Amino acid sequence: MAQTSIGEGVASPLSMPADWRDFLSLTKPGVIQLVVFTGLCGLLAAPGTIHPAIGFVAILCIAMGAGGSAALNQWYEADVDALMERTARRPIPGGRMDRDAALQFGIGLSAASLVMMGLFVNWLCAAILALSIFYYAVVYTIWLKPRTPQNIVIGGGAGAFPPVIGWAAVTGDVTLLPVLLFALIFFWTPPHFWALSLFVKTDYARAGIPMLPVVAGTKVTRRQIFLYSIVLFATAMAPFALDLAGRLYGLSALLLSGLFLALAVHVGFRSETADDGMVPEKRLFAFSIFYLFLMFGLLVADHYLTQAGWL
Amino acid sequence: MKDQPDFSDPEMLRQLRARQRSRAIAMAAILGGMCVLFYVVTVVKMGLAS
Repeated sequence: MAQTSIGEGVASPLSMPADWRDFLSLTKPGVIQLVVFTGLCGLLAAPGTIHPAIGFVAILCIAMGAGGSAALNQWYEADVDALMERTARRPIPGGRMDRDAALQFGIGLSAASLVMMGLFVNWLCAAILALSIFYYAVVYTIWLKPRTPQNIVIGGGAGAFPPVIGWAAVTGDVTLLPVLLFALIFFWTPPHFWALSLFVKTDYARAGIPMLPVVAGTKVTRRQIFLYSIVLFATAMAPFALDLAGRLYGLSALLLSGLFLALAVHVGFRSETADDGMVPEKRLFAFSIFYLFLMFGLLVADHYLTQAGWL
Repeated sequence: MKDQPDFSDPEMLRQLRARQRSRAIAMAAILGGMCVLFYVVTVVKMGLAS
């Protein structure tokens, strides 16, 4: 199999037809895990019932839509990916896949997810899924990411749709709680990605992506992480404060968001030294993933335990 | 720029065939899964409608 070095890959001709594993990695399976999980939690936390087969199709379509938009993202960003060590071995910059194949795969997967969602679940879900694919592939990838250091803030909306879709699959509408779940992911995204960008910022700088640490410096980025963590704390508490979630969720949100805020304070008000390994930033990044999984999982647990009369 | 692979080389040809076979199996699995899924969901939707 042809191997290419960083910055060389995009123009390389194919040595072999792309392997199916390369198509799979084009969908960013790691990201899909979180998307599927939050979508499933939105579906499970919604009032009412859905047939398991229809629910499965809804989650499958969310995963397919996310995978399709990730493929479109990698198709568009192949040149940039080739310049960054973290992404240089992806299928297109790695020279293992034709760029057109990625485009066709992304469009095909996205279109199939929308048609299936509309026919088998409902057209509101299909419309929200279409919006999320457009948001990620066009608004974030093509428009925002190369132009503004606020790319992550506004683009974070792209990953925030799954719980709304899951909810709408059951109820056929969108009420305040799924909007708050959208807001939870929306305000979680900036501190999550900026923590990452603090310890991979040299890569972003080399690729010319205007991430906040590259454009405004690390001090501004650290303050922004802290400020968004305060908004995240308030957003996480809102479902309990508005009586849309029970005490288990409320107590968990208080503890987990408090810990998130404490880690963000540490990151927000320190100055890194050359050899400190960026441990607090890496810790915040790792915890932020754990945080989101737990928050959504506990919301579902709270919903069922309250329903069963155990809380 | 790299040269196109030489598929007259038996080893390269073997790798090509293996790649094509694995892609065909993956595609067959996906299509088979979709057939089952569409069948099940159609039956469920008909049941819900009635």
